[in-house]
Amino acid sequence: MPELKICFNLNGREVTVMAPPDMTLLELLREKLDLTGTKKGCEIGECGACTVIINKKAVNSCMVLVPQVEGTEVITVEGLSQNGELDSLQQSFIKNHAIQCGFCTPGMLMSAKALLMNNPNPTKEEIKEAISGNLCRCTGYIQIIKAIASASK
Amino acid sequence: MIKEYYQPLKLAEALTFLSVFPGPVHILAGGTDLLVNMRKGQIKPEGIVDLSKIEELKTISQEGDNLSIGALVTFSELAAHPLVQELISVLACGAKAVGSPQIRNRGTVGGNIANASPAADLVPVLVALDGVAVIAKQNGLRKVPVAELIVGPYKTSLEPGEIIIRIEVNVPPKGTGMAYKKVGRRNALAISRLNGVCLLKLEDEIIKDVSLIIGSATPTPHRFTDVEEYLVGKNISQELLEEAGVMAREHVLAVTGKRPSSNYKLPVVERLTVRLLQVAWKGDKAYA
Repeated sequence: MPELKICFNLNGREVTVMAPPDMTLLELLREKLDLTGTKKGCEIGECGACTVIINKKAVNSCMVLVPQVEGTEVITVEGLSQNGELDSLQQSFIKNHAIQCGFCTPGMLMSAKALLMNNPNPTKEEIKEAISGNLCRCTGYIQIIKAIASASK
Repeated sequence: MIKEYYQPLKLAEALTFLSVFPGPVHILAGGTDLLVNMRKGQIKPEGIVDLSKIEELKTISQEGDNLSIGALVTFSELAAHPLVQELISVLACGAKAVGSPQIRNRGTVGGNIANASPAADLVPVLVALDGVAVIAKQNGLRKVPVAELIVGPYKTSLEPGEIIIRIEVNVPPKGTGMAYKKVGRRNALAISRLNGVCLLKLEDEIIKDVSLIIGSATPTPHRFTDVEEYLVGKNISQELLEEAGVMAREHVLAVTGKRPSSNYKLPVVERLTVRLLQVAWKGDKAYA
């Protein structure tokens, strides 16, 4: 089947792409749009490394086919900083040492960002719930939870 | 190789496409099962009908004693919906038990049924509520109880050309106690080892009505009618619930036969049953 033309809003800009219908959003971002901040982990929706925000909701980009993003608003980790300034959430991750190897970080940031977009003052339990679909195998979760909590204040 | 990817905006268009497309077609809703199976190479669809843009399948509404849930309602939407929280909180509990926030933001109620996993988190709740699936095809509708629609592990009686469009569940009478529990390796992203749901209506400590399912324990989710019938009409007591636990354990053993996992699972089936009944009886505080 020929490629399909897909239009959507990516990090605040309208984009039009041509993609085969069985391509995932993750592949599109990384392979066609060179947005490699979104990480490719398990590709079966278990690790959360590929988390992006679609219409204000955190989703695994490996579980979304490109045609499904038609007409939606997608935010990736590259869309967090504004005018060269890191988002307050990113600054809080740095300040609270919530990064070690960094592989889970983009996904963690996007799950946290989606939480704060919908709930600006989350409880610790709500933070834990929001990142429960994101695996970190080195930093440990305590600093990450702290970073999200302090960014929400 | 995908020959056709069709993304209709109306249900009627989807049904027409299904009735004319010659090859094997897969229906895409939330994609949280289909995409995993495609990636593993277990499914190689020639055609995909993507239902994700059909707004008419995304509504939740109350119709008399029924709550009607569109097949494309996501687990997140179901868990957060005011009518669900007010009328059938146990549905919200089942929806919240699914996967992770990311999965709940994509996965759908209809998909959970159509995928027919024996470990589905929400399906036992739908069955406990005597949920009925409304199924459309080009020339009409049919209604099938969810418990009958699922005929085996990963098998439904859905025919080519058919789409689940909504699920109708009974709203339990006021004062019905409800409980849902999931047993998995961890809270998030665990496949249910066991789950269970219980609805309990008492009148002066006499059990008037009870609906009990231990899910992920049998090939298809079904009400444990033998246990339910034993309980109805009796005075509720801790001893009675313990008896129900033993009966549920025997029920599972009778359905599945002895398995390598039985030594681990059956004692949990028993305790889970007792716990569900207790929480439905006394509320969450019973085990706080």
